[in-house]
Amino acid sequence: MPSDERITQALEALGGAMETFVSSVAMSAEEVRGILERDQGADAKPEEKLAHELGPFAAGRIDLDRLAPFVDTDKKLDDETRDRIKKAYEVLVDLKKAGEDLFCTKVDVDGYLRGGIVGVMAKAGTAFGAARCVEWALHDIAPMDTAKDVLESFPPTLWNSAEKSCSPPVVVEVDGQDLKVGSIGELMSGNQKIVLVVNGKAAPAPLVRLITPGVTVVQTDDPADLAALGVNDGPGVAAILPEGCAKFIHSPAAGESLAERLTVSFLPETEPNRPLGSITAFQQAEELKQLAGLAAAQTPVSGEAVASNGDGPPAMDEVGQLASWLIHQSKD
Amino acid sequence: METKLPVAGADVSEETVSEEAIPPLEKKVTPQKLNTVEIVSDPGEGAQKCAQIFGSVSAKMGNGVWTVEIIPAEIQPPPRIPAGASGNRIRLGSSPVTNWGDRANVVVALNEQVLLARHRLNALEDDAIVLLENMWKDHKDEDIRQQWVDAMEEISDANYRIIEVPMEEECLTIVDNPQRGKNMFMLGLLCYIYDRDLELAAGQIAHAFRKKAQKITDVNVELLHLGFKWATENLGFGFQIDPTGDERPHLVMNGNEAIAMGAQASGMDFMAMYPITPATSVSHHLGETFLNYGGMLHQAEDEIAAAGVAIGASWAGKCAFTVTSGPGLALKTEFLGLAVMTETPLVVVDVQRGGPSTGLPTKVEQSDLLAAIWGQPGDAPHVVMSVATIEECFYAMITARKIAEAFRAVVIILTDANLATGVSPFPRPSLDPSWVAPPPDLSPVPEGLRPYDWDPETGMSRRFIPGSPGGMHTLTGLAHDEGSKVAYTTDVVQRSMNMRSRKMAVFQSTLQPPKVNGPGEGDLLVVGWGSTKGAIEEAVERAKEEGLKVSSLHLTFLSPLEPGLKEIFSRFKKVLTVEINYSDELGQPYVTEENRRYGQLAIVLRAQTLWNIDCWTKVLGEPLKPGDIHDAIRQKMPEGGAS
Repeated sequence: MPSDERITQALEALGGAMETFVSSVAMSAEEVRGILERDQGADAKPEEKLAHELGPFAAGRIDLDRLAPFVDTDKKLDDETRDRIKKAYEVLVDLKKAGEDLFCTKVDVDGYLRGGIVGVMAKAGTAFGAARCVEWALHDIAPMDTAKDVLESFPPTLWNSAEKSCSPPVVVEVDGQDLKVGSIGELMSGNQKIVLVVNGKAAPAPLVRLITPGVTVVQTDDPADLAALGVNDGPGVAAILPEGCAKFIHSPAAGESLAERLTVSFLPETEPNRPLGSITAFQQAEELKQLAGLAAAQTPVSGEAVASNGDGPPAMDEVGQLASWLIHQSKD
Repeated sequence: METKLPVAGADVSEETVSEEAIPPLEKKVTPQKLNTVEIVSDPGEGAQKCAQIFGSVSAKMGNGVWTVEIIPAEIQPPPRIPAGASGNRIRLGSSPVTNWGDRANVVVALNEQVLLARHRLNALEDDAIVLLENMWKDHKDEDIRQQWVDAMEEISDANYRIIEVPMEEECLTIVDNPQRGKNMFMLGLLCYIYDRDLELAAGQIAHAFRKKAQKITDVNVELLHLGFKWATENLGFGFQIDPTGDERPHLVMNGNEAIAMGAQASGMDFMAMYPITPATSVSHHLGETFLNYGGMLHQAEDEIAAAGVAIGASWAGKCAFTVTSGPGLALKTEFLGLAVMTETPLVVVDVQRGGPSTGLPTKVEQSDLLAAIWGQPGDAPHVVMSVATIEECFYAMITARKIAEAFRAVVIILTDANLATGVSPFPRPSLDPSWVAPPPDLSPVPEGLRPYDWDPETGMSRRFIPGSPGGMHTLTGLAHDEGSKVAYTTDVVQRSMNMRSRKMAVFQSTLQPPKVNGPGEGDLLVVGWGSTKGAIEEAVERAKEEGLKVSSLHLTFLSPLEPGLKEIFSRFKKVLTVEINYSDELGQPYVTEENRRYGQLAIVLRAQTLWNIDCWTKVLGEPLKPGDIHDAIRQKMPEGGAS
């Protein structure tokens, strides 16, 4: 059990995503077990195997001796192939049993945030590597060395869209001075969920850099706000920061416009004036200004200023229309 | 009409004695091997839920069970009209029960109009015990009181034992709106009469309401106990139906659930469908289980698209399936042709209902056979098979997938509304990993091999999966050659037709002749298919007990047909199909030997065997009754055939 209550709450908030991932692993393990079990019975006569494959409904209705010549029953796997599949199966079984620790990591002080997250993803991602390994083994289309590699580490850069859709969630404990979230932007795709549990002092609005139309972003000091991650499909990142930092939720499901999606519940009044590790005061202040700017955009601009006439919707110039269209497309 | 038993509920309500003071009546228990109970109400009063729980409890206590839904053809008929009768019939037995029987021994009715409906349909035994809600008898509305009097008058020609039960009054002691509670009170009555385990019943109630607040379950369990208590104090009779003695663990489910589970057991993890009664509940089940255990359920924009999506998934390496009913099958015909032309494995489940057109969406018929076999324009040879029991619904999916993949063929499974909504227990399957479809074969295609390199003898060819190295080709529904190239030359067209058809001949050569139920020769052979099996075999048994030389034969594979039929038919003086579809009877106006329309299986058998096959078919919107089939057997015996 994690000692930090915040981590426990983060894991609870990610329960759905963890279940999806573990279910996928369990399903894959069952399929691979089936392949191995079928292979154990591959020495049986074709008619006997066929009787099993057709099930009880065929008994007395289909002549297995006559059907057998027309049906491909499973071929016996050679030793190397079987060994490769068995190794992949063991990886899947280990991952299935791993529990919550599989999804958690702690970044050392002065450590690299992205590296820590990718490490967890690459380890859990060996489930995807194992599934591919089985395919390769069955069809003899990848050398043994490659297969061995993907069973040890299968980083998100190698995942396909289906794998990203059931990606393992990650809970990261990180020191405030190492909270450089720009580096994790590229991980936010598929259904990736990340919770950053921040120790020590932190910049006031670091997660503002990650606000994009389809990404759930939660910056809070209240773990209850993490529920927003479960509400939205698609990628999401949340940070539990110390008190005094800005608090906001960007929820893609809340609406089309930024004003509908973004809820800023607290903005610090004073700009930071001291660096935090290598994060300069200027950078921190810029992030805060950016959030304040977005928060201001929540208030509709007065009709008089932008409306082309009194009745219709506010007029939008060509650039605005293009931006709106791009934002809309990016949500699909 | 004369009430044969005291109006127990009314008496009790008028007395001032406390509940505790009422002693339980001594219970006279009658042992029976088979007993049928009907639970009927207006739609929305929960008779079906009561019956489902009662059926499940009975199955779990080891009885043979067969349930059939009584569904009004209209979705929301007005209250208190005979046409609105809704509920279930549950037939219980001390051996496996294979059909819904003839008439009910016990009826629980929430108003006299739904009772009247069942009376008019001759659904009740003459000495049936009727437990009838009595609130209508003294209703403040004079019209309703008069309807009660009229109904009692109409049913007075039968010798029912009517027991008036103050269900409304009793339920009001627990709930404000008894319309939402009487069903569990009824369940309590039945638990007393049939000595059902109350804890088991309470567990089933909890399961039924598992998605609702705990309070809902608690109130319903309280109503169950109230009904049981009332029965203990007022009824004094019951039936003992011993368990079958089969100690194996059993599953209790309806045919659609069995189809869904069978699909999963076979490894078919992709289904595309469009909602249609009575097939939709297959997708309800898969929607939940695919979510938890993997798999994809696609609800398409229409029936045609559903078939297209399933074909696409199959072509991409899955073995997909689609579920529909008659009108949906009609819409899918063009795409089924595409699957045949491209030799894409596909399993289609047709849950037959009454037709034509929108017809009787909730009612059973076996009228899709000809459409299933010959409904596709052009020559589109494929497999058509049927299932006879709920257990077969499960296992047939495993066999169908294998056949579809082995022969790169379309396999249509015909089930029907009777199986789809009926509930029956069967031994819990022991899952076999061999049932599961292996991963698609993406191994490199040997150089020079083409996607339709038909074996000239068998028409079989290797299935190409997109992504297989060396297997790239263009898929087309146009006439094509071995390389999947569009080709209209005469020899290619003829050769490809031969090859697609040849596969069916090969498949037919692997089928075994069907087994005759009863002596292998005699005066009359009754041939059936699908869900009528239990009723036909029960009717044949009754006929045999009378000394008639009758046997039956039940077909599973309907296209291609099982072998050896002509030889089997030759051993009987007469062959008669029994089906739930339309046929003319000789003697009807204008009907002659020349223009008589036969039952659909009879047409198929006459065409394929050139045997002079007679038929007896009914389209009543309900399953066939063994008693009616028995009568038909007597009528249809060949001259000199009666013993």
